[in-house]
Amino acid sequence: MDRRNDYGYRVPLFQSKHLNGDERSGSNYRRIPWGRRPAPPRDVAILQERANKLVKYLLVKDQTKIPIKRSDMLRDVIQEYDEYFPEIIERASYTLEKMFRVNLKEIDKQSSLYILISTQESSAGILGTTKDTPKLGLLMVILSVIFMNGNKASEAVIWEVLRKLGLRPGVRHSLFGEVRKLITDEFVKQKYLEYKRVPNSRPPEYEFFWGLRSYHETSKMKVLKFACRVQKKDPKDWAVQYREAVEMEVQAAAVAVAEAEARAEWFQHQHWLYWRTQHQHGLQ
Amino acid sequence: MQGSTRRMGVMTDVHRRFLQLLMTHGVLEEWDVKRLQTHCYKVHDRNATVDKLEDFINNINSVLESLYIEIKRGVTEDDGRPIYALVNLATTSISKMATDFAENELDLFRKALELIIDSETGFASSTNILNLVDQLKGKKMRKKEAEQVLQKFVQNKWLIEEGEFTLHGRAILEMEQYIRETYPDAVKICNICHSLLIQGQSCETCGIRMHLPCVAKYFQSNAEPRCPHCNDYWPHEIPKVFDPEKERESGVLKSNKKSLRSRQH
Repeated sequence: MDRRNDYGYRVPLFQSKHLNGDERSGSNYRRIPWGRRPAPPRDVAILQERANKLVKYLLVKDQTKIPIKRSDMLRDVIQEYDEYFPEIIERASYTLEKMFRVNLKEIDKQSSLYILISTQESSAGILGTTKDTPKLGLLMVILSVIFMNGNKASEAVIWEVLRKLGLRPGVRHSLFGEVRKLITDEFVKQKYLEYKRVPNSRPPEYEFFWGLRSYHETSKMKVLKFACRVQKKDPKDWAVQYREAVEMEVQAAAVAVAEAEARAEWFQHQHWLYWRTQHQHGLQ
Repeated sequence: MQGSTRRMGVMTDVHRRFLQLLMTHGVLEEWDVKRLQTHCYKVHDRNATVDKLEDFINNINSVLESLYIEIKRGVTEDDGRPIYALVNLATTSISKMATDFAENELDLFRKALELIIDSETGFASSTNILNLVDQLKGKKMRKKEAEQVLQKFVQNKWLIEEGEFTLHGRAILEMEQYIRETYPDAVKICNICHSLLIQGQSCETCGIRMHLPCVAKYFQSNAEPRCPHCNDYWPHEIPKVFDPEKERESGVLKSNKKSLRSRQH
């Protein structure tokens, strides 16, 4: 006697290794009990349509660089298909990777925040500047100061450096606007930097760290090379930082490989499921 | 999908890098697009022959079809320079323009758009736009703030400022369908190419309008230009047809052109 699921489709008597919920690395998903696996084959087209809409939505929203909330995605795109969110977002991730070489990453599991990261080496600057180029240049300077300083830098140190570039707090700059607002508010919202109060400091003092997006979009190696170019040194001269940079590259590569494998396995399984139910239809 | 007979192409890293960079810049001129294409081949596929640009882009578009977006080619209204941008195939309403604009900012754009469409010249003055600030939906906006929002639109290439404001070529590419559907009575259409017309020349007798580049092409080497509709003498200066080779040689622009638009992309 075949088991049937909620939709009346036959399910296999055994449970094959089904990557589900927490088993997947970089899990964006909640666990879906096997018995309640949704989407009879004809709904796949609807899910794909939602996924395509989500892709466009994410590409536009990402332009501001402010992380995208899952709740916004559900409200604006997924809507009544919220139950299928995990599958929709997986399909969207796949399309983003396949068509744009862009990775959809959940950077904060508690608040369900996502960002898009380009997974290919940047060609930025090849056609001259965009409106973002000056700000990103400034960011690079700040990131390198933080990194070379041991992964954190006090606000005082940062301003010392910025003053050398002719930038002052409270003074509006033609390219950057009000610089203090840019580095303590805009860059922080965009997750390029973190701006934290030094514990127990009175009067309150603050320090800067790399933000999550910076870890993903650039690498310590790149920043180290940037700093060395500016100072006309060899990266290996900065032994500690160089070791750190190499370690991070290795880690990042391992994560990327694991995620790609998990994604491929998931898709293979989806195809198997689909074929299986088609085959069963044929037998009826 | 929509009865298209286009065979689905294959995207390689060359195409993906191209697409990403085009998206970063928002809109690019043809010269830059070709440089970009060459660069992408150099990075990923040094030995391959560079596809003809049209085929290259058609290939990408066939893959993007399922997302209802495509790389579209257009022509700037003032001097006929070819431009490329990634646009929605489905109608783009103002709300879809960019989800990073607030409700009152989008409404400001809508007001500016309406002034531009209704105007005789295709331009709307800063003063006239700012006078409508009290009518905006959403949070109350001061004129000073509105000035900055208008600059944001310029930076994001939805508007061009040349003393007054008009639509950027990218906005026309993206929103033509929406504009024609939303303002069917107010829109102007070019008599030659039948596309949306924001700025152009008009016949003083019968009122038909033509884009400047359309005028240039239509009256090319015609000593006695006459209106195609009423045959009256065409009273305006006939612009030159855009020649990409000449433009590069002369080190470009500004001196001959009345336009003062910044070319930084």
